[in-house]
Amino acid sequence: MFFAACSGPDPTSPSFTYTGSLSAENFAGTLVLGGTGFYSFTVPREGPISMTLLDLQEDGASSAAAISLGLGVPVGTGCSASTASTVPAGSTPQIIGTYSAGVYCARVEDVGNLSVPARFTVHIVRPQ
Amino acid sequence: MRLSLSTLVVMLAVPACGGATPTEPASTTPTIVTEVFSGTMTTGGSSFYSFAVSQAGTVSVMLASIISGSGQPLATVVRLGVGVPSGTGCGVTTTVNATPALASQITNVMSAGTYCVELSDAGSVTDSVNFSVRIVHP
Repeated sequence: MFFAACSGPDPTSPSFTYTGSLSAENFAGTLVLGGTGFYSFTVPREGPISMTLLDLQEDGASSAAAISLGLGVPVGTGCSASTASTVPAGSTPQIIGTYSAGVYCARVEDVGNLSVPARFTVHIVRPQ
Repeated sequence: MRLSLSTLVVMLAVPACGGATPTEPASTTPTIVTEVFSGTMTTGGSSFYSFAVSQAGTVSVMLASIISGSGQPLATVVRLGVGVPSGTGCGVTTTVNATPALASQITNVMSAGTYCVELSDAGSVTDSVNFSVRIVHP
């Protein structure tokens, strides 16, 4: 009689804690009425991505209008957002999550709340 | 070394360790995808198109046509590039000046990931033109 002891792959932790460094960049531009814009960036390793619509200005003044802010991947001539939220400018990240390495894009879109073309700034923080 | 028959039977009966139930090996033949990037370009203009390569393989890019606003085929020289989407554009790493042809102007072996093709005026576009670029990738 004999037996063999076997073992499978080690289990992985269900939670993820990122301990690497982060990089920040701004996506700034002008959003026309009914328009969209996007900005691509590369995430070299798995980790947290956060996006904040820091500033929105109409006619040179801060605007309380909400625009769509999305995070996705570049596809074709646009950005296919897998996560989106309609938000006004603020200082707290409106989109945050943990993502694997790859190329992503931040997308802004006027969903009908702008009255004139607006200057915007989106702050993106991602793994470096 | 000589092994008895009983020892050989035991050795053959020992199961292999180290993982879950073995499965059939995955197919190594990639699915080839063809995408067409078409649009309009004006003097000094550029535009780009992003696509996903699902696994390592050969990516080929062919400037298929440039057509004037009146529908006439043109042999205009434009700049064709391949790279990675970056910022509000395409960060090209390979570029060629090309005219429409029935052969790929760029052929690169690429790993899985997201890439882009950029078409820009190389100084020869004097009016608005319509273009078509064929991208073949895994």
